[in-house]
Amino acid sequence: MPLMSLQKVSYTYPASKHPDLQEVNLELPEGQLVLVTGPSGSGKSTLLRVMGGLAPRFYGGRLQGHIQLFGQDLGQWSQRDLARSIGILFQDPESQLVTTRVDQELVFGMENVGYARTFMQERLREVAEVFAMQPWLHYPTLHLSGGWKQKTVLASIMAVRPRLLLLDEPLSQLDEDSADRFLDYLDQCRRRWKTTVVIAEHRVDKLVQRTDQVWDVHQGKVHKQPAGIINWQFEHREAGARGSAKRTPAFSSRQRVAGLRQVDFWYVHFQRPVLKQLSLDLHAGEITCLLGANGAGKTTLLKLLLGSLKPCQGQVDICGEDPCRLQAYQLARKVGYLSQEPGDYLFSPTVRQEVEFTCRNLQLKDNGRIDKVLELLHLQPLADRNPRDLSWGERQRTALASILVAQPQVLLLDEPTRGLDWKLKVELATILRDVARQGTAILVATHDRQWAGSFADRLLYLQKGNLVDAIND
Amino acid sequence: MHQIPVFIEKNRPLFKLHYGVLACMHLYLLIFALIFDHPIYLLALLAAIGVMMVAADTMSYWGAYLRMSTPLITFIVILNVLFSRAGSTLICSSPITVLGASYNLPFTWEALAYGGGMALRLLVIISSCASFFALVSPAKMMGMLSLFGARWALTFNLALRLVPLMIEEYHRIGEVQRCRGVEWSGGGLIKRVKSFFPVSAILLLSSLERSVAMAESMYTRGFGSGPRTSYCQENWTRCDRQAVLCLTIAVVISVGAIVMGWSEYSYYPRLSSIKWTEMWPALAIAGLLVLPALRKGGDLAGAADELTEGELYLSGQQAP
Repeated sequence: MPLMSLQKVSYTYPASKHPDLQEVNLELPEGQLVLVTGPSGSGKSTLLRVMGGLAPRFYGGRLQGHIQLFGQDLGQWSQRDLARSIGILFQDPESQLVTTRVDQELVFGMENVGYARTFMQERLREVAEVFAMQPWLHYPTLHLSGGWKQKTVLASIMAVRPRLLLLDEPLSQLDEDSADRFLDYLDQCRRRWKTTVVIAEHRVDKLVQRTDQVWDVHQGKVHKQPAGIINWQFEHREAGARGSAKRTPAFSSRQRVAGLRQVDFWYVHFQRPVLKQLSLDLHAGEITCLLGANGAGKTTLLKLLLGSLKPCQGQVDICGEDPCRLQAYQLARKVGYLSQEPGDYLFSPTVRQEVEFTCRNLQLKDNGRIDKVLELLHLQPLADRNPRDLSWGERQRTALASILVAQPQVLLLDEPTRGLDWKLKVELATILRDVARQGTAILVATHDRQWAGSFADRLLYLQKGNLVDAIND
Repeated sequence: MHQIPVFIEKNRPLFKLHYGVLACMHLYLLIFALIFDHPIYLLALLAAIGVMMVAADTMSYWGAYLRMSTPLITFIVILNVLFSRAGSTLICSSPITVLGASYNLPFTWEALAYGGGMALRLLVIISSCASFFALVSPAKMMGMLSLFGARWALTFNLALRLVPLMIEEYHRIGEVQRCRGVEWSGGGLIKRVKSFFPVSAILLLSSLERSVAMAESMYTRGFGSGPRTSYCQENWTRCDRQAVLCLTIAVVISVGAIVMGWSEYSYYPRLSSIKWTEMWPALAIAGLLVLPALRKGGDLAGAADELTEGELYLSGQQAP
């Protein structure tokens, strides 16, 4: 008997007119790892929510068809029994941590489903051992890194010991090392507790060797594919990426527009410096990608150029001026900054108004400027939509449009590929190329080496507080 | 950058006391700070808190509270000196004109002393709050609140988790909005008020989105599915019993001092003299309050100097 089966399952969200999942027929054998692929907005998350019993219980909407868990209709399961049998991990660890301390977080699920205290102690010990968390049990969750936050939530879910684990893009916000470590822990859970795993993820390269089967979701329809196909697709994509790098020649006028000169920087609480005697020049029309592990100082470097941080020693300049001394309206004309969180930019009722807000602030006349930037970022069809209703990639493009409309001479981007599928990454690279062609110097901090290598003019690696030229193959 | 005092558990005896004992100690400090008039008695309470903070190695936490309250304390003293006319020992006087009428404003020693006394009282109240939040971990507070219901405790815990996150987010949003010409931290008042709207609107929208995501996560983890059990359990130890004994004696002595009228002090019309023979209860109270902090292992030399995980992180030596 399969662990879960879906027969002719269709689901429609309360606000939707058409089904978001259509006629899904699937069987999930116990102990397997299933990879759910598909473009952004295709229905991957909806499928996981339906399988986890969240839709329609939590979201409302209309569900048709039959879903069975261990041969019993999912609708008949109580919330408590579901929480004991199915664990769901979402993208953003920050929104899943409920408590202030690691040990409290680990027992949170167990407390909710009513486990006895002695039993919880035993489980806590076991889970802390598997996830190597013993020394950090009293640690405040506020100060954990992104990778540790995701690991803590996974450990908390696994403490309840669900038979089925559903993961919705758990790697999207993690760097390479953290993602690898997260998957190692996931492997351990599968080996030790025979957990069945369904994982929706864009970073398929990480899962190629682990997958038993692939479910491909397109416009709400799910197609089963053999695991081998993912290998082929991955290799094919790699070749395409290498090709695209060769197709896009470097473009630079070599005119220096910004840079850092022998900059030292350290945070008050940290004894070791983050940046040491670092120098970097940014040239008009050149795209520089800054690689490096989590905590290497990539964001710090961007913030120094932005003027949010002052160097402890050395000089930072943007078009010959100290960014710390610039007023906001002066800064916006010189530097554009796209942070990791596009939501930090968006509050207007429509995409167009969001872009207009920047123009109004900077007292810029439209003169077709807004239409031009919307066109450049393929946002014309979405101009009248609320930016908060858009997908992650569309939100990011809206945030970028709200910056680019000021025509800054330097554009800084912090981990812009977070949460994007491969297609959207290629699209973003093309957009950045177009922006660079207009003479903007672009500096991108990213951990996505493949993507960076496919379009950047220069790859730099930030290591031990200094820059090393990365080999661009 | 604003410094937010963050709770860090230290390997000091005061941190190991039962939350009930710590709550009673701080409740005592609060109540008697309001009842005592005599500046020596208030000074004794402040000194006791000071020793407790030093013994618990939470001076930086206390410092953050003091820095925040200094403007208010200074304001109280200045206000009292400027407007109180009940004193009789003149420091100086200043003629002022209000709506065409001339007044002679007297500044007296009594008004200054009264302002100082009020400031001292406020200092004790603020310091006792700082001490409470520095010594009682969010987990212990959650335990306390769970006595009133699990949902109260969880709401409190969520607030504790989300408030620093929102402050951080507020700064981050302000930072990115600068690239759109929003002057959020500098500029004139009008500019700052204007920039407050987009920053706070984004913060509100993001918080609403996060609350839905968090509710979804909590639902999948079984929250609200029925009665919860609790992992945290506070044990009553010998040290707690000793602390309660000290506190009880302190309460008895304090009440005695109040009944005898020793803790009273009059500032007006002239400062009354200090009768040192009536001051021994203040000394005794301070001694009794600091005893739990200085018991075995509580003296600074005897306390373990090794850093906790939190301190290791903050010192940059290690981070998960």
